[in-house]
Amino acid sequence: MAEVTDFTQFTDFTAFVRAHSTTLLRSAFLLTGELAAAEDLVQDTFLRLLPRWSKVAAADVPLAYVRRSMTNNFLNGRRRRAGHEMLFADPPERGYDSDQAGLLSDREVVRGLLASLPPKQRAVLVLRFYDDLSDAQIAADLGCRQGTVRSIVSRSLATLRAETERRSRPRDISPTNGNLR
Amino acid sequence: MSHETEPAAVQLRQALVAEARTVSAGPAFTERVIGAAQASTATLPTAVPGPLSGPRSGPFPGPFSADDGSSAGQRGWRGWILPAAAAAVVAVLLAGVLVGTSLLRPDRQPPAAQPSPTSSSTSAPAPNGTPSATARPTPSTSPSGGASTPVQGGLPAGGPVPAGFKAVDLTWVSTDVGYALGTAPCVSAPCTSILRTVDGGKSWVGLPAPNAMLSQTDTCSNSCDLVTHLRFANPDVGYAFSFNALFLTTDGGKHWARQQPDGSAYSLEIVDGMALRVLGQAPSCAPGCKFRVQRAAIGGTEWDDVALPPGARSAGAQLAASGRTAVLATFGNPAGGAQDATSVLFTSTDGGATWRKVGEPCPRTSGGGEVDTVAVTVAPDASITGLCTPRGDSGPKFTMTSTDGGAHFTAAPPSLGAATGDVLGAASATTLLVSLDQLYRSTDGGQHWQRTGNGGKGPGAASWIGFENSSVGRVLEVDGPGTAASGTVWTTTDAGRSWRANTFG
Repeated sequence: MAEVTDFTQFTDFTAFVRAHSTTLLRSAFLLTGELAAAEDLVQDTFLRLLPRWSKVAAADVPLAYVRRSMTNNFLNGRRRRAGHEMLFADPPERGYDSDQAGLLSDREVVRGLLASLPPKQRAVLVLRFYDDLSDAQIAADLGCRQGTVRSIVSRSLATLRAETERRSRPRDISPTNGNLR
Repeated sequence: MSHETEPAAVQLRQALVAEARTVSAGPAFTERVIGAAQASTATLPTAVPGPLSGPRSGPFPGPFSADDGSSAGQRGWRGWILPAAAAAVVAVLLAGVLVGTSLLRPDRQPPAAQPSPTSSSTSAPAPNGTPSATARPTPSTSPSGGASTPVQGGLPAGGPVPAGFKAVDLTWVSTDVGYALGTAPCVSAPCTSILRTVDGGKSWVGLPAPNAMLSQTDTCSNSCDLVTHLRFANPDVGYAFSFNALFLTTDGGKHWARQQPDGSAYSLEIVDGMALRVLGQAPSCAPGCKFRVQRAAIGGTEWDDVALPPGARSAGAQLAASGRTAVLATFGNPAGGAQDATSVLFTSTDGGATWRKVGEPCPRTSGGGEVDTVAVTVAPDASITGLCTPRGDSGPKFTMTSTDGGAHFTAAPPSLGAATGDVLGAASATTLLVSLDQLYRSTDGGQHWQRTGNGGKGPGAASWIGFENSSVGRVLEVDGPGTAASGTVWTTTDAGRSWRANTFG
């Protein structure tokens, strides 16, 4: 704890929090699926890193260091709280709506995809396609093989393709559907 | 087809970016984190005693895991109790040292230097306005500007610079006289400090500061006055302000008076001999609702509304000015959908008396993607320049410049990087500075860019850029990646070709 008695260091910490909270919160939001959980994740991560902030500041890319810690905290937290938390309270829309094309629809599909994945696979997608990390970086961050990362990415993209294709087809509306009477 | 280019990957990437942009860490959240950090250490400058508490949305964790990011995939467990107890011991020892040091040190302003109780925050109603989660900070890119202004007699002589001072904002009334708003370690909050230089930044002295916090903490979230920006119109009259407070000095900073009613300013600049400010439509809604623009005589307390064409966005605003030209950028909220996310600009060429709606002058990308104005500045030659950023930082940034008061804008090619950053300055329509991961300078109106931080001979990334005239300018360089407060001011007298570094100490 001695390190945090360095006022200059704490000033750097607070400046870092202000500068990067949005970036980290957005990643956390994608990981957790809800804002309150994302805020808790970001705050917990900062508090855990504060006692060793000099180490963070000395990293080649401090933001990457913090993000890596946050991702691992997320995965650990998920393990600790497994079975006690329901993510994505709003499940993706399943009905066909010709007006809801485009990005909003994509977001719903992706939200559903992320919700259906285990935390580690979800983290892989967020790190790969939102944080733009390489397979090697993700593997190093998560402590798994690059092949595992590639496999998760491939399977997820296949699922996304299938879901997008399914949603692009008009729903089979039965003549007995009450809405048509 | 690689993962990068196949449609599903592109779709996934765009959807993730869009989904992520629906949330943003507002000041309330960041200050909550900082407050919790202060409370958790109990050894830090502000007076935030006691256990982990505050308006936090979730329970504090129990035992912490030691995931510090330093070792990939390696995790461990450690207790928080012992470090916390150790911190408490260190806190007691350190507090004793600090109190003793403070009593012996002449550089802290005496209590009498603070505003009298009748004008301090203690008599002010508790502001209930919280910036919306999507509100962006307003970078200060415009100095007060003006010709050389001699320092008047009777101004405060100033004291020593508080040790460890870090600046967050600068303001200049001439090429020699400038002021810095910042903070320095102190025993009890607020630790807000103001410095003054009369020799172009070579030396600084401490001045009394308003009795207000520089940032929110858990102990005063939304209930204490904040000052996040500083503007001086001349060596006598200055304004320290934030979205929830406005302090005015008319004696060079000897005394600061809390302004009421409507005592706030989301942005404030000196334009054509008048003070021009942007504030929320009502005291409780800045910046989550429509803005008002007001003018007042310099040093005056009567503010008059200025008509603004409809269409302003409400998620944030930046005002920049030089001479009689001013530009107001209102920022959209990405959570509201693509249309609402667009920035809308307004320009004035008569000192802010009347305004023209410009809309969003940044052209879309060649692929039709949205491009937003994220920062604006006005150069001493009255040219207006904006920084254009593809939505989601998804591509190279570029600038666009108007030399006719905002009637027409010319976009430069997208030759800047895609790194995050929104600090912009201009010495003229052709000499521009943009801070992204580094500070970049263009001498051809944004066609080409070069780094200024060449082997320490120029500033790196900046949190503030301003030009007093077409040659003399300043940059507040960030101390390191991700930091905003700074201990170094760089000065140029040749529009950014060469630089001189000065610290506040």
